[in-house]
Amino acid sequence: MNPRDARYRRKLLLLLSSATFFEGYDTFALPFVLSLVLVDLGATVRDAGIVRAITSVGTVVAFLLAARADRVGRKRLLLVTILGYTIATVATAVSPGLVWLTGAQFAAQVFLGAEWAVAITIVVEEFPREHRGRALGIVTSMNTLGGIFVGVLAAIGLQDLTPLGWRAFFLVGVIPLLLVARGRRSMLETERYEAVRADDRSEALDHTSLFEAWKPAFRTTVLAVGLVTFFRFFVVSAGAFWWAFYAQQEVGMSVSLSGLYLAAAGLVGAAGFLVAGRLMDRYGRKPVFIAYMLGALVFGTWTFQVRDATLMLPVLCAGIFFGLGSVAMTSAFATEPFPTYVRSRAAAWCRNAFEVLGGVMGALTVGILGDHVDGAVGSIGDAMSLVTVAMLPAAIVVCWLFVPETNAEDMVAIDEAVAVA
Amino acid sequence: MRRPVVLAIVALVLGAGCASSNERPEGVVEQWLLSLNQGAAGDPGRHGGSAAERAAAEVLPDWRTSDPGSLDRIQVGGDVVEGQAFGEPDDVPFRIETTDGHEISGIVHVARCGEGAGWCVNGASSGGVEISPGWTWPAGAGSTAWAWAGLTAVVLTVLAVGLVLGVRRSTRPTAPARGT
Repeated sequence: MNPRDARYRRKLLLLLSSATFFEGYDTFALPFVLSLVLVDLGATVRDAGIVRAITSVGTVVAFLLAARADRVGRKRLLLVTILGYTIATVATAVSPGLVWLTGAQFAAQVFLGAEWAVAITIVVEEFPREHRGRALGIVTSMNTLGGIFVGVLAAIGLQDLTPLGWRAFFLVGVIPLLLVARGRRSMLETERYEAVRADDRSEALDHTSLFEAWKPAFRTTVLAVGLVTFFRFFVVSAGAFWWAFYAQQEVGMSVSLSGLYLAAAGLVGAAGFLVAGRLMDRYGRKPVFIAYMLGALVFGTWTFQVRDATLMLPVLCAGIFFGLGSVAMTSAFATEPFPTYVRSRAAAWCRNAFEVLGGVMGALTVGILGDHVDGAVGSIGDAMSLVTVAMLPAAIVVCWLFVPETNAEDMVAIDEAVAVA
Repeated sequence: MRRPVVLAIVALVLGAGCASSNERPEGVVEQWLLSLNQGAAGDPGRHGGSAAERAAAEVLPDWRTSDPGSLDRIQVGGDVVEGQAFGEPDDVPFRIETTDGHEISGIVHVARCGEGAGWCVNGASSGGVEISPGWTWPAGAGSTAWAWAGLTAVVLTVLAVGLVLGVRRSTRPTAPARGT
């Protein structure tokens, strides 16, 4: 009997989904309770900016940890990252001061960044070709649902329900550890990783160098996928970061209404991941990605030009559907074209180097251009629309010309070809 | 490869040259109102010293003891009334709404902090302001800005394609990574 049957894959999907769910949860938790944290720990708004900058670097440092999956194995690294994240989130909850909190959140971002990369790699290696896209859609959609969950907890007043206040939000982060404690024994190392490590021919391959993904055979693909993820996330990250500010300060929506819109649009956005997963199994990764990027170009630009609260909801839903949903395809681009022995390192380069850099630069660029006091554009909405128009065409063209289609790709065949070579 | 790089640098320099470095009074007023929404962590005095703190007490007497986030809506209008004479303050209309539905509107008076310096809040008065559509934040991008965005898109696309082509040309595949 095959231990990797449909039941096992369902359990695996649950475990991996909890990893990506809490990546989204933690991304939104600190911004949501930030004002409470500042008062409790006696900090200023300026301090908050420094905390944000330092913790963001954690996602880049995660690159070093994520790349280790090719050496220590996917299962072991996933368990290490979940344990590490849990310790970091508990440390955040017991923070006596801002320096401690910054350190704990930095560590949390390191573990979460690596957790995401290894979770995507496991999906690609453990699910059969015809279900890979769907599984990627489910696992990546959990990130958005994690973000919405923070909003739900805030709406029911978690900060007031216990004497812990804002600290309760970070104790919720122990849930993945409970799931791992249950699923750890039955979880297997991926079949592809075990096969490659057991193959004598793999001894000639470099399983440790961070730059193996840049050797001539993979260089063009890593660069093309990296650029696509950079341009895409430049826009998506800036949009996610600035929309609430735009809605409240430029459109005149209340905080509560904008929160409601974001939750509703986030649910539609999660559908975008799932639809993308199914479509890419059927029509291929590239055509669906290009279609999603065209949708993001139109609705992303429009979202930040809408000045009417009624029209905002449907346009925002469409923008999130296409913009966020496209991560299902970029996750496939960053993993599927590469052989198992180097897959995690290639994924780490594409996500933790290119994508995270795009995310940081995108939010920063829109903030500088759209600053209400002295920005060159002076409007966040206009700055965001201009950046969308400037960045997404490059993602579309580079994908169309250089990113390989991997819909029909057989992971065994890729590994075999490398071993023979 | 050289030509697109030069074009990009020229575009960036020209773009930076077109950028305005003047502070907007309505932007400063918005920052000042946002600091009133931070509770004890807020620092309205940063936007004009003791005059700005007195103005804060005029608009929201209990801002320091309020919970952070107690303002549900903060709006600053684009229809600023400029001072008639040099040194006379500009009037910036505002409207705020608390989470319990209480609404306050009024005018914030801002003036230059010094010669050639930014704007400082030096007074405020509540009431007497009608809500008009002009209150939403004014759009800042004209047709020139959209043309710049289009040009940047072309330059970035050419640069990205050139970069990948350059790397591909310098690489002879030895192992079968897919596609390229």
